[in-house]
Amino acid sequence: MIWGVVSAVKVISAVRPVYAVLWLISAFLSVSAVFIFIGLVYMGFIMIIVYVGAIAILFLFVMMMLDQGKEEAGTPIVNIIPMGMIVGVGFLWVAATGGEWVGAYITQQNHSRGMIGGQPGGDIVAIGRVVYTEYSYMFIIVSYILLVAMVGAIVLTHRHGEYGPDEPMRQDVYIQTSRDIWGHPNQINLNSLGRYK
Amino acid sequence: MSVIYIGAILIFAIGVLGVILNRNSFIIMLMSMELMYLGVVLLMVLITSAFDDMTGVIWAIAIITVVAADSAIGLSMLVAFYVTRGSINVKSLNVLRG
Repeated sequence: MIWGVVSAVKVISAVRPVYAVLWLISAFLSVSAVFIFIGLVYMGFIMIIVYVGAIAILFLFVMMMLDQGKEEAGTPIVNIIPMGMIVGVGFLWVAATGGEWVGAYITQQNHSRGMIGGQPGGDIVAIGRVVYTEYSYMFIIVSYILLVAMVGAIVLTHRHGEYGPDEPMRQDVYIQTSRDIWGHPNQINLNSLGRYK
Repeated sequence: MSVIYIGAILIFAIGVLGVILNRNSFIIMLMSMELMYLGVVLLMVLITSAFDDMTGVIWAIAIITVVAADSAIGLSMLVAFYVTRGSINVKSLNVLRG
């Protein structure tokens, strides 16, 4: 756990963002190790697959796409002291009173009690028994969140230009079916290929 | 065991510090947000596992999915912002300033 905390400190104190991504991967690995040590093997592997395999690689892709040039000096630290004090007081308040909220919630929700311990097959069997029955609404909501995220990411990073800046990208079936793909390379109609190359 | 609780709270606090104290790079701010999610997921799973309850694990899986969607949207916003402005400096994120 000390490994995880040290990695987190190195994430926010790294100078170059690539090193910050590497330390972020280190922090994810430490947390997944904690999950595996307390018996939640499936959660540990899911953390490695999702975070290290998807999110960290996504960060690295974006970092390769963008030009990481000069780092200008940001706002001076005096300007962020009021917001920092507000967030610090709120964090202390939640940390001081949040345990009672969590305890009250857990004593209300006792229908999945006793699922982890004594299950044959570990936590993946326990998760599979409740995630399709009692938490099926959450499964559906999460699927819609993923759908919205996919559509949003495509819309945000979409480059226009084929039919003009205001036209959405669409298929032109006539051009696609009338390609002369078996002809001689010097005789390919470049006007019909250029749009979809 | 209490070392792990304190470590989870420290990871969340370090993520908050990274969001607040970061002054130039937007992508490190997103990474600090990932750290906050990491601390929250760890603390939630640990607390409800201590009660032998599955609620925190199911919520943690939902939160992991939301984090994946969140970082995808955030990074695509970053790319769109870079295409628009030519810089990812936080200081130039003042379009909505009155």
